[in-house]
Amino acid sequence: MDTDLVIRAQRGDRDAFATLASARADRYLAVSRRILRDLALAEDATQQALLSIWRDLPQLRDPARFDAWSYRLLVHACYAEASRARQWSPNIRLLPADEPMEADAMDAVIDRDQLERGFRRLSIDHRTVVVLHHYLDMPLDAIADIVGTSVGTVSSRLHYAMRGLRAALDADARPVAREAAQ
Amino acid sequence: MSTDRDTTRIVRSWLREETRDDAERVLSEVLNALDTTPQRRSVWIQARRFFDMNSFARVASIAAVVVLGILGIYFLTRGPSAGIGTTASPTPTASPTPSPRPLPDALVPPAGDLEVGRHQLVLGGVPLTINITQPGWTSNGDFGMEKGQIDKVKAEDPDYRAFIFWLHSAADNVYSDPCARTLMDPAPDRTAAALAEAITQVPGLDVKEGPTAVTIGGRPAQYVAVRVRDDIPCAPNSFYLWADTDTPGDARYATEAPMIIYTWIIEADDQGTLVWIDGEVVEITSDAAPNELRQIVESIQFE
Repeated sequence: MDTDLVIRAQRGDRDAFATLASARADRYLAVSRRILRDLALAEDATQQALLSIWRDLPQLRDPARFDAWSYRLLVHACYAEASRARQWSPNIRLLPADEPMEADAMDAVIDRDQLERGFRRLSIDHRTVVVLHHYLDMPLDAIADIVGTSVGTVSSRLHYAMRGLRAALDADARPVAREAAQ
Repeated sequence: MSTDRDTTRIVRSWLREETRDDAERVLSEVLNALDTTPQRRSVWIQARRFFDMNSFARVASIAAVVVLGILGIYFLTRGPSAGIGTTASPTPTASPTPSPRPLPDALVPPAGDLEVGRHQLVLGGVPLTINITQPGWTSNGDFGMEKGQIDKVKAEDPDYRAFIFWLHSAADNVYSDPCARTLMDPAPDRTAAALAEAITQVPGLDVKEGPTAVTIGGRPAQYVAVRVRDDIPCAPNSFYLWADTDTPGDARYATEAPMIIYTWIIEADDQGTLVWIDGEVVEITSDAAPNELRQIVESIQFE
């Protein structure tokens, strides 16, 4: 990571910030999209996080910790969006699929669908830990730093989340499809 | 029946499924908004740092980080290199100046460890000195100085972390709704007594001490200590405490909850100039940290 860019951005250099943000925005969107499971919410969270990063950057004491610090702001933004979305999130229900499918393809659809369902049932705390660990390959202590809790709590959340996803995968396999109700 | 390893493999594969994560539009909107989004710089600064000083001190049950943030009445305009040192080791002047130059609004010691001894500062255009009697203090050369000693006393959280932050601008109002960022209306008078009293009215704070009339450096002052409760209804960095409304965008928010904040508001002259000193300590099990903080503030001498 280019700490010089961070230092320049801390001093209000917009070009330096633009370089930093450009290199990371897609990844931030990918992370927030996986946590929130909604592109519009993820875009809002990413935008809010980037603005928070710009606004609070002078407060970052150690420029070398920029990435961990920026992920903390991104996670906070995701939490805020999840809270806001809870009030109007459409109900999702499952319907039997009409078309016959090959076994492998059907298994993949089942896995994806059941994972989606299982993941959506997880709390935002648990989703965040799963994404940071299994998508970004972050170690647990780094995740603890980002979400502001202990390694033990992160480990517990990860265990609980993976147990829930495993239960979702073990649910009775049947062809399903989703549609938003109303 | 899947195994744990199967589940991990499937979940990782699922998370890595290719999606179009193109943030170009978002990025464009953000960059366009920078001009109207001021950075929080050099005025109300929050910093964080871990300290793990002494493994032998685990049973000493001290977990404290003390922060001394000093607020002048005016906005800080100097850069990080503008610090001045201790009186014991003055920096030689490169060339004599033919006539006295006006004091800058603010100067703090240069970045690095602070020696025991008296140090010069200029805050809000007011020159003063503080006396440091114990080693371990560090100046960031820009907006504060700190001392940390963590003993991981929070048994339920072995990764216990302390925050520190410094304040560099005098507040002239407090928040009546910290999470909604609503200022008290009408604003308190710009006097030490009125502002100290207003601090006690901020929701989410428990008053620990004061407001009390004290004397700092021979000048009248007000002292108040508050605890940021751990059940505040929003994130600490969204929990706003007080603000300098003369400098839009400069507002003090909580570093952590719970946390204890000690504030001294000093009437630096008879013209209404205030010097605001804001110290912060994480929840502690001994009085060492706040006592040292008090000692430094009480050592202030105005020049």
